[in-house]
Amino acid sequence: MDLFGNRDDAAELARRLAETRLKSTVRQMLQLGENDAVMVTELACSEPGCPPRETVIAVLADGQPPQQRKFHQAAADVDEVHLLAALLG
Amino acid sequence: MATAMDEVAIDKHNGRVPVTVLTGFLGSGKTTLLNRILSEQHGKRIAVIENEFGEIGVDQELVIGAEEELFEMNNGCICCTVRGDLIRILGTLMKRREKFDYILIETTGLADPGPVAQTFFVDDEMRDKLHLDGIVTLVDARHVLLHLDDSSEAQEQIAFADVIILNKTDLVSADELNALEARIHRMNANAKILRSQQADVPIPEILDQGGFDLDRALEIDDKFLEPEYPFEWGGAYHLEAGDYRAVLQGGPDPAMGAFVVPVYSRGEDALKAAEMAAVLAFSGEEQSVQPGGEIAIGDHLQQLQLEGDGPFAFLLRIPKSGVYVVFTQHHPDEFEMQLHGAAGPLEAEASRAFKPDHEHDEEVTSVGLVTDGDMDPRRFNEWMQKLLMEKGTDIFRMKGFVAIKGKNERFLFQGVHMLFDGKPDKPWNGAPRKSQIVLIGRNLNREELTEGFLACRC
Repeated sequence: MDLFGNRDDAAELARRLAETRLKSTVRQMLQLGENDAVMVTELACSEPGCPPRETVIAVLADGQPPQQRKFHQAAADVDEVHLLAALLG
Repeated sequence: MATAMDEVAIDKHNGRVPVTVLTGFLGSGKTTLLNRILSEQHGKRIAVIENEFGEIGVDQELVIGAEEELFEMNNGCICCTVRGDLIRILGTLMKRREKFDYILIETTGLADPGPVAQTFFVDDEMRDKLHLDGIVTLVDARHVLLHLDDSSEAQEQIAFADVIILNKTDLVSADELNALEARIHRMNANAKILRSQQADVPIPEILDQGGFDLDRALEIDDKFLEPEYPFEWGGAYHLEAGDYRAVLQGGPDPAMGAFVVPVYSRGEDALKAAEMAAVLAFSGEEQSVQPGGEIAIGDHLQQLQLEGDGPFAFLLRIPKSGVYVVFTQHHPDEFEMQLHGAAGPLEAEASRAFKPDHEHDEEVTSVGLVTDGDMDPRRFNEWMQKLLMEKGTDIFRMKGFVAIKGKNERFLFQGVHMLFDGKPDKPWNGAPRKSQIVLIGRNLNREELTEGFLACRC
C-alpha cells in the first residue's frame, strides 16, 4: 500500500470490470432475484504466507444465510469453470 | 419532485444518494427525531431503513424494516465486516431510485456503527451509487452515564459520530450537562455536539453534513490540537517590593497548586517566558503551605491548603519590584482567588487560560497530532501502514492532512478502521506547511502515537 502513490487507472478499471463480470455471472448461475445481492471484493492481503490477492464473493440471498466463496487470485483471474465448481461445491 | 437544493446536494457527490445513519440507545429519542425528519418541510424525499421498530407516526411508503445481519468478508477481520441486510435492502431500494433523494438508516441501540459505515466503502457498486454523509448519534443526557463506562456500544456510537445530539437536556443540571459535553468531546473531538430537549434540532444541522468528505479533513478543532498544560491559568502582575496576600475561598478541591516566578518581560510575553519553568515546577516536587503561611517565589510548586472554612489567606513577599507570573492548578474563579495589595485587589496585566491535561482515563478517546514542516513520504507511509495493520481494529475513525516533502499540494485523508481514503488537495500557496491528524479509538497510546508521528518528520 502506497498512500501517496499514483493510482494505476488501467489496473483499477480492469479490476472493476472483472468484479462486475463476476457479479453478473454469479447472478445468472444461481438464478438470483432482484432482492438478492452479490458482493465481489478483491482484497490485498499482507499476512505472511497468504497470496497477495484474494477475491471474496458473497451471495446474500433473501431469506437464506449468506454464502461466501474465496479465490486466492485476483478477480480478473477467476474463470467461470472454477467459479461454477466453487458455487456448486 | 426534488428541489433545486437537493439536486445540488446530489450533484455534489456525482449523482450518488446521500445516506445518514442514525444511532443511539433505546429511549434516546431516535424515533422522535425520525418522525420530525419525516414530517417537517425540508424539501427532501427520504427513504428510511429501520432496524428498530419504533412508532413512525407518518404515512411513509418508503419505510423499510431490516434485521441486523453482520457479514464478514474476510474471516475474523472486523474491518471487512459489513451489514448483509443493508446491502440487500439498499440494492432493492436503488431500483426505485426516482422516488427519493436521501436515505436514512436507523440502527438499533446496540448496533455497532463500524460495519454500517464499512458497508458503504467495501463494495464498489455501493460506492458508485451511495454516499455516506454522516453518522448522527442521539444521547440521552440523563441516562447516558449509566452506559458510558461499561457499554462498548454506547462508546462506539459516540466515537463514530459526526453529529452528537445531547437530548433531554431539561432533565439534567447545567453543570452536569457541561461535564457530559466535555467528556463526550474528549472521546470524539471531531463531532459537532448539539443540545436538545425533544430532539428538536434544526434538520439542516444533521443532514448533508459531509462527515466522510475528504474536504472536511481540514476542519479540525484547533483548540483540541493545542498543547495541554499541568495548570489551568497564568496571570502576569507588575508588583512593587512589599507584602501581598493571595486570598482564596473554598473550592472543588482541598488544595490548590500555585507557582510564582519573576520574569523580565511584560504582558503576554511574560506568560510565554515563564511557561516552561511552570511546566517543570508543576511536574516536580511540591511544598505544602498552610493558611497564613508564605508562598515561596520561583521555588517548588506550592500546594495551598484549603481545608475547613474559608477564606484562606497566604503571604506573598515580593523582594524586588518587577513582573511576576502566577500559575494556578485550577482557574482562580473556581476559588474566587484574588491577589491583594495594600490598596486592595489587583488585576493581572495579562492572563491566559491554559488547556489542562486531562486524566486520560477514557477507554475511548481522541488523540490529536500536529507538527510544523514536512513529512518524509516513505516514513509516513510505513508508519501509517503499520498503525492500521496493528491498531486498525481499535482506530474507529481518523482524519487529517499531511505536508509531503517535495509536493506542492497538501494531502487529505480520512479513514474508518483500516479503510483509508486520501487525495491531494489545493496547493499550500505560501501558507505554513504543517501536518495534523485526529484519531478516535479505543486504548490509543498517546505517547506512542505522538512519537511515531513525529518520527516521520523530515
